[in-house]
Parts: sequence; C-alpha cells; structure tokens
Amino acid sequence: MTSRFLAVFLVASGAVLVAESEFDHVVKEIEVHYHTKRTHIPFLGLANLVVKVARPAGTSEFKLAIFEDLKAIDEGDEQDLDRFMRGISSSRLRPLVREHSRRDGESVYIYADNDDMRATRMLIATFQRDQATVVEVKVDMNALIKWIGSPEEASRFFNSHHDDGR
Amino acid sequence: MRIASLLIAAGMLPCFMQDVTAQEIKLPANLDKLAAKAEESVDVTLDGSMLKMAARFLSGDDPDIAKVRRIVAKLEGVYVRSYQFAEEGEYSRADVESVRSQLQAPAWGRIVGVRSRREGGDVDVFLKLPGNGTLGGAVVIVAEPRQLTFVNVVGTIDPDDITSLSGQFHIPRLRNGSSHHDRDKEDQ
Repeated sequence: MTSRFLAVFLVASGAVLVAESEFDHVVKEIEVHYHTKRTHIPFLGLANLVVKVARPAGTSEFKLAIFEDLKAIDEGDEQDLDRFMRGISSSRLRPLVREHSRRDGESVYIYADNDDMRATRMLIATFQRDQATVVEVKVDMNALIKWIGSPEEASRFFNSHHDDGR
Repeated sequence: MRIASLLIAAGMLPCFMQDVTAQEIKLPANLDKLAAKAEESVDVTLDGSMLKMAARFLSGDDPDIAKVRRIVAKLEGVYVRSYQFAEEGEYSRADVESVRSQLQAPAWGRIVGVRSRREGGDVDVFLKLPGNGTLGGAVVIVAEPRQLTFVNVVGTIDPDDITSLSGQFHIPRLRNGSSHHDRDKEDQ
C-alpha cells in the first residue's frame, strides 16, 4: 500500500515538474541557440503582482524572460525561426498561433499547455529585431480564445506589464 | 445578399445530397513559401482536443461567447493561413489552386463565389456534405490583390455558423457575401 501511495506521489510530482518546466525549457533553448542569457529584470515581482492583483482578462501566474542583443536573428529569416521554434516544442506545448510581421520586424508564437483544465498555461514567445521575450501566463479559456485572435496584442499586453514594472 | 442565406439555400440543394466520400482538405506545406514573401503572415492551428477544451471551459453570459462555445463543440479543427503582401502579384493563381483543386471532390460544393471587378478580390465558400445530411466542414478562400487567406473548418458546422465564426481565430469577417476589406462586390 505504501509503495502504491509512493508511486502515485511520484507520478503526481513528476507531472507538476513537467508542467512547470516548459517555460524554463524554452528559455534554456533560446539561451543555448542564441548564445545569450536572459536579462535580469528589476521589479519583475511587481509585474507579477500587477497580474495577480488585477488579473487582467482572466490571467494569473506570470513569468517573463527577456533576451537582448540577439544578433543571430536576421531580418526576414522567419523560416529559420520557425524551424527553431518547432524544434523546441514539446508534446505538452501545443502550437496555436504563429504570426510574422516584417513591417514591425516581429514574430509571435503562442503555445498552450496540453492540460485538460479550466485554466491553461499560455506561452508567448516574441522575437523582434534584436531581442526576444518569453511570457508564460495562466489564462482561462475566454482569455486564450481572445489572445489567439490577436497575438500581437497579447505580446504587447504582457510586455507592457514588464515595461511598467521597470 | 447575406452569405448565411446563400449558404442555407445552397445547403438544401439536392445535388449536394448524393453519397460522397469524405475527404480532408490539407493546406499545402508549400504555402509556407508565401510567408517568406508576405509582409504579415498568420498561421492558426486549433485541433479537436483544443476546441473541445474551449467548448468545455468558455464561460460567461455574453451571447457571442455562448454561440462560439456551441459551435466549437462540434468542430474537429480550425486551421487558418493568412498572408498580407506589400505589393500586388506576390502570390500566383497556382497557390490558390493548390487548395481549390482539392475541393473538386464530389463531397465538396462551392456555395458562394464572389468576384470583385473593381478590386479584383475573390471570396469562395465551399461546404462539405459527407452524405448523411449534415455539413462536415467548410473551406473559405479569400483572395485579394494583396491578401490571401485560407480557412479550413473541420467538423459539423451549420452554414450560419460560418458567419458566426468570422472574426474569431483570425477568420476574416464575412458580411454581405464578402470579406471585410471589400466594397461593391458582384455575385457571380
């Protein structure tokens, strides 16, 4: 009986670890691929607090990583970026939206966690000319559907919380 | 003429009631080359499990949300590819035909075809009738001089639902038988 409980506990713990590692996985892959390190963000906790308290549009649990001086990203090289992002997708991260804008020099990728739950984790990776941001935020389904329809707005929305927090 | 009325009327036509083979439409991978030329490109992929999850957990009293929830519960996939170009002539007729040719199968019928003489834009709506009397999917192709959009909706869908879904998931807004960019179009 004890071993059964232990097995259940280990499986549950593993699931939690996997669920929590998707953001870190993407961040690490970007660091390795672009030979960079995420930028330290002062007051990130404040941005998280804004999301927690205000809970805009059904969001909570906010994580953000920013990368600067990504010289490896060539303008107009979206296909390489697509290949890279496809490569770092995992079975738990479901690609929902990919948007490229040459006009704004921006590419936005939206993924959702594979969990069959009321709130899902949404991961937004935004690449601009020389910088990238990765945001993971827990959203309800209404918010997710809204962001799917306007990925560039999602990117700007969550990055603005970072800017506010600086 | 409202697109929904056209679709309902067309859906009742007996010529589409014949026994036909179901066929899934694939948005060709080579459409990716258009993304390389496009000023803006969007690729939306919502599979059945995501849509079912959306149907379960979309909430609220907003009638539009309720309608979307009801519609997506019956769907198995929504796939959108949209390309906006800086100049005209960046995509070819063959790019459009690569999708349109798949819709020549007997399961599919073109229900709406709108051509704009002034602006040179086309809007086509195809419906799939697998033979059991229900509609098994829809494909919308919006081909404008500087914009090309393919929408593939897989699953049971009523003609009215297509207009209800327009504006969601990057599906172009359809009204009065045309996309929202269009003016003064002429039905063919």
